[in-house]
Amino acid sequence: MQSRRNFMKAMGKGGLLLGVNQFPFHLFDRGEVTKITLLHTNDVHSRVDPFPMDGGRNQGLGGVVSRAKLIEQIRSEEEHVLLMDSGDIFQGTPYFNFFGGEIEMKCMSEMSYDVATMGNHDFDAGIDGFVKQMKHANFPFVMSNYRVDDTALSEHLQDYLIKEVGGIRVGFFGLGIKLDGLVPESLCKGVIYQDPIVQAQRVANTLKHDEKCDVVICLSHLGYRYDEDWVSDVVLARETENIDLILGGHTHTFLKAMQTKKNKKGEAVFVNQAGFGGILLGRVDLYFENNKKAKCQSCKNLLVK
Amino acid sequence: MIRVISIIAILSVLAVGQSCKSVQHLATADNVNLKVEDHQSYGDSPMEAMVRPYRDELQAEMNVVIGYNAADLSKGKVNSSMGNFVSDLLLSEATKLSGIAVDFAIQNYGGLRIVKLPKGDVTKGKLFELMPFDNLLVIVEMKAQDVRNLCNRIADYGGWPISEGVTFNISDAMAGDIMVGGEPLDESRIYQVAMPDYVANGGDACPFMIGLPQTDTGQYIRHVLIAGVEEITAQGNQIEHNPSIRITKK
Repeated sequence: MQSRRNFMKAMGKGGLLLGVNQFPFHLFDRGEVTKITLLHTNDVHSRVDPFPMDGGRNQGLGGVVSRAKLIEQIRSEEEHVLLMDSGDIFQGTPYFNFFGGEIEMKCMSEMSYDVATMGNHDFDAGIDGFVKQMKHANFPFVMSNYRVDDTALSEHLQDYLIKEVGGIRVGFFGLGIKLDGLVPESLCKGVIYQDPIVQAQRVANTLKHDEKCDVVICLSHLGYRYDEDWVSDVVLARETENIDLILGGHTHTFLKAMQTKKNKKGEAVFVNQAGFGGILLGRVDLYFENNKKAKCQSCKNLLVK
Repeated sequence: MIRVISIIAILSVLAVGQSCKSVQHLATADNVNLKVEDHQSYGDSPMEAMVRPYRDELQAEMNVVIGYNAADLSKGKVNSSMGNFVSDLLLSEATKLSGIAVDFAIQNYGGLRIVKLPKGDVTKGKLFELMPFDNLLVIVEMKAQDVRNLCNRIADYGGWPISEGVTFNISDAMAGDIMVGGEPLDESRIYQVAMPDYVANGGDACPFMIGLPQTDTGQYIRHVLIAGVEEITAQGNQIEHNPSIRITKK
């Protein structure tokens, strides 16, 4: 919980989505405000070391040592921090070819990731190859649209995860991309892909209504947006409800800023993606107003373009 | 003043009436995507201590010199010195691994990930850079029309690495005068063509490949290239450029 002054100070740190003048600060006078800081990566692709100094545009960027330092710094400044990944942890540097994903999982555990989902490249060592590295992961994987009942993954993927931080119930679930054509069948045998929209709506309803989550976050490896008529984060946002935030991956999209989309009911859904290779660490600060009203007056002021 | 107080009182009653439980409303969200930059040396961090043994082991392995390259090999279209080198190695290794008389080999252009293999010592790491993907070398049984489809795809792309044993020309993004083993395509023949399983399974816009019979060598292409260079070295030779022309652009 924060005082109003701290709240304003915190708000002032990054560019506001809302202009300060538009923000209904008076509503916060009688309620308590809680800030939750979400940090997220996607498509890190075994980039354990920074990009090599080879004259390329990404040279010197990324690397687990720098990322860990940045996360540590933010954790020292903020009370409630959650860290997550949207898949394609594996494949892209010889670290993966040599150690099969062990060091990637160990690094994420060392950084205290809270939750992750699977990308298509996380099947590159096969189901058994992924499962083999689970002993090095001290965080859970969420996945709602792959049926894995008859595979070794069934013990390692869960439908959703709820984290309670600062009195806020945060619900997480994960969505995976269609594997057909992306992953050789031998590597994902027995995994059944299901419609991500249908499964997202199912699990989001569960999290919002049955599990009484205050916020529902989707870790998606569907991709940000396509010219083709394929399901993507943008489509997911538009065609569902009860999802507040989509943290995506797969398309290696560098967004200058998080996007705000309208859901099925016209409510705001935030969508973000953090490039690839650990070049970026996405940061989203969520502010919650605690009151005894069923409706949140200030929430109406969320900008939806 | 009294009116204000009474409104507050009514609102409070309403609020309590609606729900006794407090609600956490997501009021707003703020975002910044932070660049991860190495501003200083973090040599003392626990993360660095954890990564270091892996990095050292990896670098020791990667820095092993496995051969010598006599001249710069470059990636390019329609033919290229690097393309010839890679596809010729795939051809000879596929024949050796499978015992099949392989007619020719192809490698999709996008699968080669460096633009130059410089003259000088060749390390294992360099071949990892050249071919980071875990693609398997497979041999596909193809009829004359399948070979035509494949050559047309390569022509449409403006040229992929192809080995000795096959030649054609490109005109209007189509393949013409396709010759295998110096002979025009024979409609009654089955051709044995080595390639990455990625292409053999329809990848890189090759859907016509799906369903054709395959023989899997069980070896990653990268491993095949490393083994090929090691053999050249073991025979006391260097990597030499084979400049033969496989594709002619009209």
